[in-house]
Amino acid sequence: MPERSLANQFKQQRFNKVARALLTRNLLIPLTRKPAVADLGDVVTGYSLPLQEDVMLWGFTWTQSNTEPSSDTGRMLKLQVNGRELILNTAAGFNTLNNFDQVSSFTQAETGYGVSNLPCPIIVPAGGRIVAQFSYNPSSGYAGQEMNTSQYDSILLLCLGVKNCLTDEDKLILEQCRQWIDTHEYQNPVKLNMVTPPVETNLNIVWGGTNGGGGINQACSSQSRPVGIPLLVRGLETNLMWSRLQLRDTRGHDFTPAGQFLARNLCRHAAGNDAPISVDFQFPVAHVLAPGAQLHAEHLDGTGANLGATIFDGLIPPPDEQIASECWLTFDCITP
Amino acid sequence: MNTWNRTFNETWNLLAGRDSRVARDEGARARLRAVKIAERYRGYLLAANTTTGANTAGTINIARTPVLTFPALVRDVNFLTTPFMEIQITRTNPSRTQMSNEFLWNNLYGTSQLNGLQNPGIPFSKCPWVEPFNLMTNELLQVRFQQTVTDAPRADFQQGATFRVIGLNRMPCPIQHWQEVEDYIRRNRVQHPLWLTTFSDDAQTITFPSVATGQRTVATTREAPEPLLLTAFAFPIPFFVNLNSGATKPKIRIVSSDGHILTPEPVLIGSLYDFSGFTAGGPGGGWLWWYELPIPHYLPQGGTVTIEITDFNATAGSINVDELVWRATTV
Repeated sequence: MPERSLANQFKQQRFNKVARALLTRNLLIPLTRKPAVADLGDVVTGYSLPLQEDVMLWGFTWTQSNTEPSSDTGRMLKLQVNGRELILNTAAGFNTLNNFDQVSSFTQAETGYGVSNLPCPIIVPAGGRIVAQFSYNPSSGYAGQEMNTSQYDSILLLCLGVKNCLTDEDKLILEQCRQWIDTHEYQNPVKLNMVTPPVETNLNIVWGGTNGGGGINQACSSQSRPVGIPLLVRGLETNLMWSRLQLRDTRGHDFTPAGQFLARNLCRHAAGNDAPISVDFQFPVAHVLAPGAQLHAEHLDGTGANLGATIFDGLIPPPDEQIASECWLTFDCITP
Repeated sequence: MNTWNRTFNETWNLLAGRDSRVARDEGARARLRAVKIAERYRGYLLAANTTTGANTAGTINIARTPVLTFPALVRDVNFLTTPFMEIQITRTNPSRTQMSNEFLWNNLYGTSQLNGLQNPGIPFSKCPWVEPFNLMTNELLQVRFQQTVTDAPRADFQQGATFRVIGLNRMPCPIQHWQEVEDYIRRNRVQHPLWLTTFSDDAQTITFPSVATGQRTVATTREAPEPLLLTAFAFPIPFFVNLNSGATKPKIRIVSSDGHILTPEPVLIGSLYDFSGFTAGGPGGGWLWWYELPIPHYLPQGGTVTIEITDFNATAGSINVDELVWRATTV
């Protein structure tokens, strides 16, 4: 056991983390879905919906479909926040869009680039929009090549909303956390698995008209068990690739206020490989899940082997037994 | 506290309504201090490259860094070697009549096993010392590569080590300059993130194998729109195609417009890679992930950074040299 003074110091740090987490809201904001880049001459622009509050933009993820070209070395991206460039290139025209592969720096054939932290966080004021433009680098060797019209890019903005005071309910949770911290010397990791309720399993709601019989254009929802104690949600893991997700906490916090995002945005994986490579995404500040609250997910519109509407049975198969048809969504939590 | 954590906390406080005069002053002081440190102490990538590879078991190659003309702090080292290499690093002072070698590191045996890779010409993760150590003026670092098995090695795979060092000679800074920086910080409450890309003045794309050994190309960033602190760069050469073949491997030389030469000797690009960053895809291809500078580099408004790439000699593939990116923030 550590000395009393040292133990108290650790406990105070744990308490401070909870207090900070209660003031912070993690937000995953997708850019509006954009049309495909049809050929080399196209420049396509995507916008975030106007934000309802001041937020901190701390990073983003970028993914693209992997149909053609086989190599994405010519992909270019330009980002603007508050009317200022985040990527400063040299010339006009196409060259103002930069090949962003190296910024995320994964293998040449990959189409999921993972999370890119901004060099430093930036405030996006309420009503502000984030603009992304996509095109192909003309020097990439695809001159004259028509791009597959199913190509698309997807940007997910990683933001934080920060409150300037706690609500009464927050204060109550904070007090519960203090009691927990006072009586527990250590924090314990907890995995919250999402489970699709049986009624949802049978429903397989048709989404958008076509019932693919296995998840395409379908939707269903899942939720975690209600927690008995306050938990800090540190991140999430999933192997859903082509599904779109909406996540919320039944206590009221919506992680995705601007709508569904593509789960693939959080993935890093090889092109053409829909194998279930799990995501391990961490929030910069944990989310506090109040006692009795549940995490709720809508998963929509999966394709191929990774079905958005595939039910979660709440189990994560061991890595060597993971197959594409077994999907999971798990939140990585820790006690206060 | 690094720049990201500091700016994260400041931004969080600003949004939480906890902005205060005291916090603003503290933030401004931290920003000014970061610029002062970046200007007074310069970072260097110190290369020690062999001229040939290792052929059979027992082959020994010696590589030396340039002789230091200033005292420096050595932070860590990356290697590019064949597998199953025993590495020994010593510090020497060649100006003394009697060599006094100080043993630093020995028997880093089977480095490829550490990384779980068996391909020849592989880069290794950064190897930090338990404590960074000082090098004195007129000293150099000598790296001895000894091949221990005949299995994978090849004679034509050049090896090298790149040390990240911080020069401890204080550079003079005019007072007027500080006032300009201070004014800028006062005018700009928050720092702005920026990725600064480079642009080739001769050819955007170099295609192999038409390029002979010794080919060079130069790429320069646009002029900095505001005073910046550069913290890292990312490089677009796919490892497998361009680094793994040929007697000489591509090297880079980095110079900023204020005359600071980050690489006194050209650095093997492969020896900048850190395989711990490749969590997916493995060594079959991939870009250099962010290579952190030993210490942030201050780039005044209007300043540029030039990167020269030499010694291409690969069998296939191409490189777009306009794609190197610097990670920066305004001061």
